[in-house]
Amino acid sequence: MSHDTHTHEKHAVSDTANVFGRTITVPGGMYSVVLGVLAVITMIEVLLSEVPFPNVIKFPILAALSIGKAILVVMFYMHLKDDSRIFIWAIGMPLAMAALIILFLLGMDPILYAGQLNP
Amino acid sequence: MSDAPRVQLFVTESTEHDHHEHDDHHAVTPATLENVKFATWLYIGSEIMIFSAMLVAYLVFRIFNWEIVKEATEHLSITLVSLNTFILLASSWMMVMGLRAIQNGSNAGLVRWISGTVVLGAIFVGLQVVEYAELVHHGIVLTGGEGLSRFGMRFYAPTAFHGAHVIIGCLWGLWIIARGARQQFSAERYVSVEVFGLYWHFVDVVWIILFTFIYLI
Repeated sequence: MSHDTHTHEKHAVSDTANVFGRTITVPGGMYSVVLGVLAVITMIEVLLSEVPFPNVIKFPILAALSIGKAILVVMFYMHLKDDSRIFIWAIGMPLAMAALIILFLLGMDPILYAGQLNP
Repeated sequence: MSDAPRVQLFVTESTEHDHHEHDDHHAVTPATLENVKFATWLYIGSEIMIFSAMLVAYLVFRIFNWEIVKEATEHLSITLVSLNTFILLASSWMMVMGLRAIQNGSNAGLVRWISGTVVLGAIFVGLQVVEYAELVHHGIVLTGGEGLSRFGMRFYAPTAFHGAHVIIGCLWGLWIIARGARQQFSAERYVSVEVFGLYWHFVDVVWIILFTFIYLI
């Protein structure tokens, strides 16, 4: 655990960030780089949502971008990439269960919903 | 439970600091820090289940009532909500910069950054109120079983529940600021800041998902 704490401190004091093999120096280091990436992805999402593509194309792209942003926050801002692996299980299990429930409910025949049975 | 460093999570270390572990006044043992963070992650896991239920309720409604959703989403202001999204992303950055400041031993830096986080959180809630007022004006309300109000229930449940989390986060942030101003944190004692950070970033992650699945898709 003390190793983990030191890892955080190493990130905390560094204004340099390694991005795709290139070392760049910005105030805030990797935290600021991640903010920039999140902002750019959000702009792409908003622009993409306005493009008149069919939903079958837009939906997976927007969903992937959104999940990518969430992973960035969890890994870098919540430090999950440096923390104990058991934390990944703590969040991974409910995520997996939630995904299963969502897929099950989305796959159900609408006749099974109460609102459809009692119009 | 003692065969690997990772499994120290559940080890209770009996030290004189244990009685004060919750308030950062004394150095926190590594095992205690891990336990607190693990508890926070478990709490986040339970929150994931709640938000997932609300999100899936919205998605199912959308699939089978697409005409109502299409009419309702025409009243959603993507510009306003996009601005709110950038605000919340920036608040998360300020949060992590505050944590970095206290890891470097600066209570003044912590107070400055967390103040920014709280201000941005308050702006987020304020803009959400503006958005809701506009939607209510167009007939998207909570009550009633017909038309747009059927959309209202599914829309307000996840977004307002998230807004409540932001409000709680702002209040929590004010408490962290007050303690930082009294020099109660240091480079070795910042577990409360870290736990608050986990909560705030989780709230940000939830909004990232809601923004895409409710407003953009």
